[in-house]
Amino acid sequence: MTRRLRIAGWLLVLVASLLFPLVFTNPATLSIALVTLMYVGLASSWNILGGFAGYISLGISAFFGFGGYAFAITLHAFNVQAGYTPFAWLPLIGVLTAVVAIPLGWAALRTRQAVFVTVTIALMLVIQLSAENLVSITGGATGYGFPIPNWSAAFYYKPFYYAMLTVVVVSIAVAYVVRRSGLGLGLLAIRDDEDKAEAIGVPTKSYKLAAFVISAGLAGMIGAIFAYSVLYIYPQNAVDPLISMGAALMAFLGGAGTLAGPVLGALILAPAQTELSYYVNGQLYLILYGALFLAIVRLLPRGIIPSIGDQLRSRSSRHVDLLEHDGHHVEGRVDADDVKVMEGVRE
Amino acid sequence: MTAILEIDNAFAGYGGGNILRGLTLNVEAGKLTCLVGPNGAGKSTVLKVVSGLLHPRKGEVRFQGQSIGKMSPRAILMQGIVQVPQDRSLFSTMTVRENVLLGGFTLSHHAEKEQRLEEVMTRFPIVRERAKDTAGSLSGGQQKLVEFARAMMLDPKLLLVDEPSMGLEPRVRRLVFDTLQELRAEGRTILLVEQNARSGLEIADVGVVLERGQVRLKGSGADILADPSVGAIYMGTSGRLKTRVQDAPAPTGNDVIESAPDGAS
Repeated sequence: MTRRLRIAGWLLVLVASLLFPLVFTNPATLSIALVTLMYVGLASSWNILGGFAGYISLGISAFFGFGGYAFAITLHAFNVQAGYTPFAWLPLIGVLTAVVAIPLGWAALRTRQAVFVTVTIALMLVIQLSAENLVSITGGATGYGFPIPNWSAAFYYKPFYYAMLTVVVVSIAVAYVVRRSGLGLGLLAIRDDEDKAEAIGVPTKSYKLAAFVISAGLAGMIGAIFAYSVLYIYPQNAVDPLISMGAALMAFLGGAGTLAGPVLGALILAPAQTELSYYVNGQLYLILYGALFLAIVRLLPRGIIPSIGDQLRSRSSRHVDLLEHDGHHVEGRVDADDVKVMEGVRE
Repeated sequence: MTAILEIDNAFAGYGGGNILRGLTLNVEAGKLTCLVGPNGAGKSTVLKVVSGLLHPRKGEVRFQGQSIGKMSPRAILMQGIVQVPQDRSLFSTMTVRENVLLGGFTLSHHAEKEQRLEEVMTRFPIVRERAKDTAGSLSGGQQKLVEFARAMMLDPKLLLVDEPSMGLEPRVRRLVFDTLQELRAEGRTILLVEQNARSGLEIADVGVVLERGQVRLKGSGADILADPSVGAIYMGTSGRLKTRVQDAPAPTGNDVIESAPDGAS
């Protein structure tokens, strides 16, 4: 795909997202759109650590939930009135979540691979338990309310939608900047082989922590908007393991480590998941969700975007292969080992 | 004769044993020095000590007069000592261009990086040709060339090359040694460790024979090659080492370290 086509694609998606609430005004549709955007943002911010650095976190809702609580508590503490003004506090919530993520990331990132996955799950449960037990701060199991905006039912979701869209655009932009920077190059090297990365001069510890903290800060802002939109935050809706897994699953489906992958994965899975939970009885949709997870891992282990990329590349390189083989015929070489050798000698 | 690297009476090793036992070696600027010797003589350990992966227990390592024996690998990299490791060290899922860029990771200015990349791509055309391919899709010989290209990103003052011919088919091996010879002709200072002593010594200005963690012989590459006693040493295990393995009644911890440090050396 050429660069121009890629930019056009992103612009198209952006314009479509901007116009969506103007075309589809049904509040039920908009609430699904809001959740979809939330997942686009979460999957994209998850991708900065999980996709670029290969550190698979299943605990991003720890920061999603922390952001929600921090938002509710801050608005209450500063007596912020309902309406649009709370949105102005979002950057502060992002910074606050990022700061809290520093010591947590420092500890969690001492582990790798499966142990890291487990530690992130534990981290999420610790945050949930804290929300439940620090009653004087969080309201415990009963939860914490937000100031209620005086918006009509038809209008209600629009401000949340646009606030979420803003944070989502910021998340994707941050992911893009990270990917293009030395930080991104270092993170990709860490994903490939952390010891080699260290040997070549990548400050692996601080880079991983940076990715962890950036990812957490973005998730905190997303969680804050979500919590405000449902007006009430309690341990189960704030720190939901399904949200953690959903974000990771969507990134995997679209293609972890690519910029567009998590966006695509979330655009496909998030509405499907919401629809499914409406029409399928009880918790049965969770079983279908699990089956989908297995199917993705089995059929598209690298995700949609990289798989398409592979297809395109193998189509264009087939031509080159034919030429190479012709060359070998002239040399009278046909067996595979020789082909390999010749490739090495060619230049 | 200016020595850019001086190793003075160095002792180093793993666990309870020493692999280097009082090694003293000078590497002269602008020359290709080739270390040969039997398995376990300490060839690769010398490189580890110079690159900071292993700190000497005793003795001194000086680079351009400055002591580097206790520096971290990263700090030593910043001094201008770059290693091309023995095993395949490219990031196989990343592109060739990204791999080479990573070689200049410690450069602080973006413009400097781009300029170095341009120079390296001119020097190693394969980097430009295969820039967007993943490193893992290259053949072994091509990967070795890209590793050299990556090392050149920092314009190293001293290039450490560990067994570059390892696992390569003879014709590709030729290509690797030709490249080394070209780098030498360009005035690079190279410290080469090579199991295939003939190939290594043929292109070397200075040949050094290591045995049991000490320098046994040092001379011009051609002289070392012509030395009749060298054949016995470099063609696998030396007579002394063999005797030792046979004499040992049962492998104790120290014996294991002394007689079979293949993996570690």
